[in-house]
Amino acid sequence: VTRRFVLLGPVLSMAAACVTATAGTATAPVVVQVDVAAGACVERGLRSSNLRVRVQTHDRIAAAEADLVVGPDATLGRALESGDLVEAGAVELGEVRWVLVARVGTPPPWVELERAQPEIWVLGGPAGDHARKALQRLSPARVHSSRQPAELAAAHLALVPMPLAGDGQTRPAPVEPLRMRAVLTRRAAASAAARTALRSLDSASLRQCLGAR
Amino acid sequence: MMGVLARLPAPTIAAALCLGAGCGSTGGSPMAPSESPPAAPIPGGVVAGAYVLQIEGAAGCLVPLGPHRIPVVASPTGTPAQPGVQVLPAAGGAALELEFLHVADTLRGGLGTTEQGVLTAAGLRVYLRTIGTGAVTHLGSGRGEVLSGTMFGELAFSRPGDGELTTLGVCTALEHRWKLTVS
Repeated sequence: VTRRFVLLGPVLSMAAACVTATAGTATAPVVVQVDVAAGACVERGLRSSNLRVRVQTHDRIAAAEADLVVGPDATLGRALESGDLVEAGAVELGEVRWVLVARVGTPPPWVELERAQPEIWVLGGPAGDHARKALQRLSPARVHSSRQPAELAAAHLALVPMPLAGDGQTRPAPVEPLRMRAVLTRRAAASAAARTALRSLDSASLRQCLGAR
Repeated sequence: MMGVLARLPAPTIAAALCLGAGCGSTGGSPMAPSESPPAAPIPGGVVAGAYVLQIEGAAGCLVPLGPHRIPVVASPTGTPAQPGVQVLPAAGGAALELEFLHVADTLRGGLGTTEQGVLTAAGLRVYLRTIGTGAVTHLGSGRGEVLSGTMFGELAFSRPGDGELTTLGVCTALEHRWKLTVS
């Protein structure tokens, strides 16, 4: 049964994709798949690295289609267990906290949520698994899931990882943090370009962007 | 129930049993003997064949009211030293699997679905990640059943096609309930 206890989340869906190409080499770009929770930060970090990369933001990692993946264990778990990732040499980016964020005003204290039963938006997909469970005392009709950062940012009240908090006021939420990592895929284990991209992610500025501890 | 009956006068009991059995409508026939009460479940039994798995969220869970029924098929597994039971969906596939040790007239083990969940007979999608236990009993020469099992872990409900498995509620608790009854 254990092998079938796989992570929550429906089928793969690509949330966004962009290309950052700078150095004019003839080699194929390093394909970097990033979980939606870290997408903007990683994209920004790689853009400034002067590397030829293609960044794809996903809510589910498909390691067979990437050279480098970045995300929380909840998203990388299956690829790690299946041996599609080279765990040795992975870059630990730290733990990313969850916050309640209000677009207007101040988010309510966590302990008030059950009584207040507010409409709340929460990150969907495997990365949001623990957060949705943490809201199990709220009526399911008042809990909305989304994998779109823009939709979460527009919500009056949202429960998101720190990088998706936007400009609203935040309050720490007692949800298990996301342990964020960057890992080479097996297909890119011998790729110097992929290793260079991996090393470039081992940076204080990226950790700061993620709000990682 | 039996204590109440013992305090009633015999004619009252006979009349009540007669009404319950529908006798007297044929007129003049001798009073038929009352049916014996249902036999009490006997511990133990072979768990094999077609069953209905019923699951219910623990008290306080904000999930759709149950019981939620799923037709399943049980097969003996394991070894003589460690006998077991495997339960799979009657409709085929492996979206749901229960793997139990069957020791001391008790089933203990995991109840789980894949990340796609499994459809109940009522068309809800349920996701299970639990560990459960339940006493096996049987009636007469019947097959073994679990009439009152408990399980701890995660239970989530959604509609088929929903983007997440939790749209109708998710609950992690120690006292979810389950049954495995002969179909």
